[in-house]
Amino acid sequence: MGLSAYLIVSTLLFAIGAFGFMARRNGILMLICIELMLNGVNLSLVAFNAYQPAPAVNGAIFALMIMAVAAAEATVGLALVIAIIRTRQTAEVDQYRDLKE
Amino acid sequence: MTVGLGPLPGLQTQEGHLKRGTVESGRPLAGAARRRVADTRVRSKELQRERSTLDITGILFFVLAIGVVGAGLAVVTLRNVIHSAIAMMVCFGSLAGMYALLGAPIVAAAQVLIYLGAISVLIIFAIMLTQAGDASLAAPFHRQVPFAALAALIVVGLIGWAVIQTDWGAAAQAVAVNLEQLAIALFTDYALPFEIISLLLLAAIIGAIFLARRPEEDERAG
Repeated sequence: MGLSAYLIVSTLLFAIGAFGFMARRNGILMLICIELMLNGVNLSLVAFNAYQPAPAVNGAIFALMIMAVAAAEATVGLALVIAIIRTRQTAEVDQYRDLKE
Repeated sequence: MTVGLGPLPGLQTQEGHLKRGTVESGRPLAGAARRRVADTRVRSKELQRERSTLDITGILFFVLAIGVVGAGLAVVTLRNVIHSAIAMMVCFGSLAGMYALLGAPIVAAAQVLIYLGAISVLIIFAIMLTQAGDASLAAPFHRQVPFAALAALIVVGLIGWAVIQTDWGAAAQAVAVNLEQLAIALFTDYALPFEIISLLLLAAIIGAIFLARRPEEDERAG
């Protein structure tokens, strides 16, 4: 399989994540969709690394670092969502309208 | 401190040699076949073997791609959040297989450890802690679904078009990551980002503990 096939899969995964982030109402599901988008980017990085004309490791290192940052993001994001759900008693993000009213 | 991209010159030649050795012994590919033009029988046999490897790789790629995209679609369309989380685990597992297919087993292992092992469990815990009954099953989508779908389709169209139109000048075959080279680069050229990430993880742990703490415990402590 060529580089383009992997890049198409990565694009599809990113777009699915972006769609879910915009369309779903559940806060935790929005975080899951962010993870999907990050994974799509990771796939493109590893694919670029594998198909470089000269043997390289930079893309794999970038992917590993993005994984670490994603883990930190998931930890803090879930803690935030849990704190908000605890005070608002709902996971639906369109119920969080205190600033609007 | 300098964060350069190239390793030491002496190292590079040695690594390059090592690299070529591993790739040739690991997979009988086009390079080996081309060099033995004289012996046509050996050549045809090698070519045959190459074609069968390509077929297996292609089949694996399609299975994994269907796993990734199908599970991703399931994540965003299933009504129950816990089902979405399980579909997300399938998606991450297929991605790990794809990394292995791309010749990056270290990234595949990290994917299984971090995403399947840590983040999925964290997310499932959060869902179990917060979902009260099936309150969220009634209307999982915003009213802005058409616009979201339109935006996603535009993203797919534009990036897909760019991917297909661009001549990447890429290698014909995926080249495996040399683990030794990766480790050396990670602890020399990328030592500073590596340390900064450890600091970031510490900050994330402290922040998460602070955010998730209940207010009552705060009063009891103080």
